[in-house]
Amino acid sequence: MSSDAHPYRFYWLLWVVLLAVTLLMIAIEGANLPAALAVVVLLFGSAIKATLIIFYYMHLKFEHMGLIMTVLVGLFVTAILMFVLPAYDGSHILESFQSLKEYSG
Amino acid sequence: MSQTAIAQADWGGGASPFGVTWQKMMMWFFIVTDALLFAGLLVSYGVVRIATGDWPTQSEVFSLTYIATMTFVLITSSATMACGVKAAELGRPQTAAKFVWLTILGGFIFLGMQAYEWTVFIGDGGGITGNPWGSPTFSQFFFIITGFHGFHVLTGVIVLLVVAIRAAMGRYSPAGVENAGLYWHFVDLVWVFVFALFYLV
Repeated sequence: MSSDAHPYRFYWLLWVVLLAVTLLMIAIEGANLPAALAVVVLLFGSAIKATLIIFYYMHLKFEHMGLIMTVLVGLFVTAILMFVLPAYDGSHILESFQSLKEYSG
Repeated sequence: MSQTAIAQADWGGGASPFGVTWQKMMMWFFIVTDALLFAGLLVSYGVVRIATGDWPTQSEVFSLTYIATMTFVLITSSATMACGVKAAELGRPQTAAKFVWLTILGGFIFLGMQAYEWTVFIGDGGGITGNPWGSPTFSQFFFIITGFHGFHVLTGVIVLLVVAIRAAMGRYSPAGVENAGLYWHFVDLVWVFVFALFYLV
């Protein structure tokens, strides 16, 4: 992963990659993409950054498979919660409020 | 292998099921549960934002350049922390302590920037009960999410100060640096999602 002569080089390479992805995400935010597409692209960018941080900065890649699975399953549930629930529940509540307003005039 | 034999093999004492110390295992378990806490906050933010319908455009409220600088500071402090953990692993306590102090510096810069961001936000009229930009839930979620994250950064700085001061006293352990590092990277990890979901989306 990192040579003995330059033990820290890999972490600074990763730092450059993380900053590059961040700048790309800011550029995408400013590019006026359709909202849904922008959300998907930005979440994809975050997922790339998160994966790099967890696997290399936190060394999870080099841990026991049992620990890797424990952490990843936990974080996978987190991801499902974050990415699946909001849109459905939120738009449902918005619709209910709107129909309530129409009903009450 | 019978159940008793498995229990004795793994839990009879001295053996660690995941090949790591119990401190490191517990730090990982804590990180997963803490990630779920932030997921809960971000999910409720997502639901409320969509349900509200009149969310302000973030770039009109915050300076994205300023937030990007905060992100830069936090990612840089994560890089110095990773170098600190590596130095500790290589058996270089002084280099490790130097990197930990740099990480603490990054943490203080981030906290200072966040304090200033809050000051400007409150000065512009953002409060718990309302704000000039749209739904009151916008400023409520701003305070709750960035406040929770800022509190985690503050905790991380305190943990790292303990590690650095102990190292200066000669009571240094590479495993301690590694565990503090895991927590610090997690704080950076949370910011990745707060930055993307609260400031960019």
